[in-house]
Amino acid sequence: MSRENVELVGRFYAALPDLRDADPDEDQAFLDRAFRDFFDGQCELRMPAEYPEGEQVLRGRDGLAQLVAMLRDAWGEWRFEPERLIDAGERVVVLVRVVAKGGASGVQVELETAHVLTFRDARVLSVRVYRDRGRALDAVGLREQAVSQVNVELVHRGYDALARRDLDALLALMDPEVEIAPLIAVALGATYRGHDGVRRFWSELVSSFPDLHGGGRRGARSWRSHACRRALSRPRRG
Amino acid sequence: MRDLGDRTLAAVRSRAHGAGSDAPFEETAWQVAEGRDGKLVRLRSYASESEALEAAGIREP
Repeated sequence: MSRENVELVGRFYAALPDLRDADPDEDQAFLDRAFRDFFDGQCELRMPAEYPEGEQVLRGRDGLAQLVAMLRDAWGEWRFEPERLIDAGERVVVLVRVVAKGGASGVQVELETAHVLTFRDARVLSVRVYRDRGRALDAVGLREQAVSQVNVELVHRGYDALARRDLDALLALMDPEVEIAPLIAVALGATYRGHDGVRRFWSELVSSFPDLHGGGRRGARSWRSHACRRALSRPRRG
Repeated sequence: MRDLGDRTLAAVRSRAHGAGSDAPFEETAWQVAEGRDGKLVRLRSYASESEALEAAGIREP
């Protein structure tokens, strides 16, 4: 059943419009479709305490209508970008990036959130929204496995940012206390620390090598598929 | 890229020319990245895969 649930969730997020593009007069029709195709009539949506509205539970069609009205009231744009669907047996975790723009302020907001969904009779019975993805993964007992997936994705995004030479995007992926030690720096026993350190390294790099480019080693994908399993099957030392 | 749990290992080849000399530069580095709470906290490069795996605590035959 879990595979069907994951597929149901994938179809649901694909059907969600950006609030900016959706005609308010169509909201009721959207809710009709959502409860016809995806939601159990008793569906419950639980919002996290960290949200400005505080923790609240919205139930059934009226609850979802209330949510849509709240979003329209506060936001000019609001969309969910599902980044990963994780099959957690009876539940499905969706790592969701919220991209929004304040209705009055025009301030752009991007949030990394997670939704944990439960099901009844091939319909979504509950959606719990987590501001902290780690807590969502803890809730379904998958933190270690999923953290690994998140990290792989994080590194891919880092290399993408490098390829685009987008320093701001790269820094957005890094902890303020990040430590980086590129090969030449390792040879010299040096480490760059924090965002300022990364900026300094970047500046030195592009001034020394203006046409620097690179990528994964050729054949990395097939190499990874075998070597990764081999490494993971062996205990880590220490 | 190899998934090592809380870390990843990637082989990255870089090519460039020196800004002043125009001398070609090519390097393959083995980079171990460590993530925590959805952010990169450490990125360290090594000259060989075995050295990087050793640093990541993975022993291979």
